[in-house]
Amino acid sequence: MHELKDILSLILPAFFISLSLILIHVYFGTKIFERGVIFADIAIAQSAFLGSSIAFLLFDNPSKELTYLFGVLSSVLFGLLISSQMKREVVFKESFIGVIYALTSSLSIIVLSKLGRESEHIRYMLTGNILFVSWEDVIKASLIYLVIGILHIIFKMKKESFVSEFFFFSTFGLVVSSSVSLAGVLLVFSYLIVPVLTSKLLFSPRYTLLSSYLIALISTIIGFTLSVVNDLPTAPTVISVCILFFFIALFIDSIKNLKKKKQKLSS
Amino acid sequence: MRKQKKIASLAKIVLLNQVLLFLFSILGKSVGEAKKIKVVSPICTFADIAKNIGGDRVDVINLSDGLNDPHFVEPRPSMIIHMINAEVVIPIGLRLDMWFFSLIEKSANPKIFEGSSGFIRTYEGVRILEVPEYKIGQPRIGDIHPEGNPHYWLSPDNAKIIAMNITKKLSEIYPEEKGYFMKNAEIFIGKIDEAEEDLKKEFSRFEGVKAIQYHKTFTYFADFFKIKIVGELEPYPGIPPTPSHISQLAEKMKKERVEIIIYEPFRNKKDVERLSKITSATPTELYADCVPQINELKDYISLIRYNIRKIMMSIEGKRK
Repeated sequence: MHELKDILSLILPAFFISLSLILIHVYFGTKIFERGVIFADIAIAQSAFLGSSIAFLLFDNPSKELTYLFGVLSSVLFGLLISSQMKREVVFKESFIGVIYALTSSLSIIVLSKLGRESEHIRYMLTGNILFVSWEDVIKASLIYLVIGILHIIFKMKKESFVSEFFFFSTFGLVVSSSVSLAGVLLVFSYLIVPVLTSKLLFSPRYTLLSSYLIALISTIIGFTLSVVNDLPTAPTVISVCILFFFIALFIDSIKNLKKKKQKLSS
Repeated sequence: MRKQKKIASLAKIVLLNQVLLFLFSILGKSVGEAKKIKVVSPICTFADIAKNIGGDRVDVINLSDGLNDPHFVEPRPSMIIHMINAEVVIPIGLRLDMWFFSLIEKSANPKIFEGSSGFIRTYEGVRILEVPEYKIGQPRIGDIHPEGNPHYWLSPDNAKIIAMNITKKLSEIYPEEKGYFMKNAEIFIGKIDEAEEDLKKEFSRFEGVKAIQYHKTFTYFADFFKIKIVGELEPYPGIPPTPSHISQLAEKMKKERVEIIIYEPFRNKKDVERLSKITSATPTELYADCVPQINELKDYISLIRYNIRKIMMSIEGKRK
């Protein structure tokens, strides 16, 4: 029984941070979907990474808080840039975000090369792994997400304006820079997009948020269980389960479409 | 009837025997296991050294091998469980195996925290190469690594120092086994000495050969066997090669007559092949760590032998 206690003590903080991540990211995911800018999150995450690596350039051994601050500043700045272009058509928006991603990625490589240290080390410090999350991290991150969630409820702006877009992208930057440093880019991206995508295939738009939450929660529970039982890396297992659900939904959707076609043909 | 009875009693005895044997085996196993010292190692090389020193008194768990980049190991739940139960850890340090340190921290096992009795500073006494001269007020640009090159285990001389560090620390924690560990260390170091002498003799006619390496992995290895490293494919450690860097490197290689490009199996082979095409230097895949499931690479001494022979084959093929 010693082992079970060990496993729980290491897996529980990771599980709770996942719940927190799901609550805020699935919400942001639906909003991003509405805007038709799916890759905004990767661009924002990359700009946060750029900001944090600049902290390493300016200071000798920056603290966690300082690197986070730089990450937030940079992501807000690029969020401002992205939100200024939100009035254009979707193709332009997506390409613009692609450009921002390419820019921030190359700038980060340049900054890392100027640091002249082993960049593996910096990269390691800036992207987290969910298994290493502590209870303190869980509380800190959940507080940030809670405040941002409340802000979003208070300032529910109906009309799309530059201010509303700026508010959206800067709070999004705040969330993503914190979550990437805890759980890594891949898991954050998956929580944002995959559950919403799955739910769009299966359920009516009215239930998108609720069903996405459910899909994310179920994949997380199954992913964690598989990871512990079969000793697999936790985040990649959760992501794979999440995407498996997406493919099942895709399959169901295609069958539905086929049936519809047949009905049309016969009538 | 009598015969039947006889058979029945014989069966009983056999059964009893079996049960007793089973019980003894469990008992013996648990007693034997309880006595073993649990050691966790980030790489196969350190695990091999620890097994050689600890013999049957240790139970060594190894978390990665030469097929993977030791900078990036994807942590799994079982690795943390191993850390929770560990009594001794033998990290690489110098910021190479950060994931291993994260595992130690996550385990919350005070026995293996840095500075505790179960934490072995493996590189204690090793002459670390490429330590940047850092002057206060100077920009850090151009520094290689704040604490020096961390791939120190690939020099057989350093492997002996690592072996002694492990011996010393194990003997401190388990003083009753000191004699046993010391004897094993002597045997192991003797084996390295022997291999060292053989390989140096075999390699002597290739000394001074010039090489390019992908990452700064083989600096200590090259230093020991007198291979001259002219440059790296990575412009900075961990930064992928850029076109301009490759073309500059190619020019330098032609001028200096570099014969081989050495790299590990997990590096981008396309970069290596491209450079090889322009310069006609031979791509030579080496390993930075042993691989238990491959016989030629099963332990540290096999690893060093494999690497040296691979280089000799490359050069001989080229010079023919």
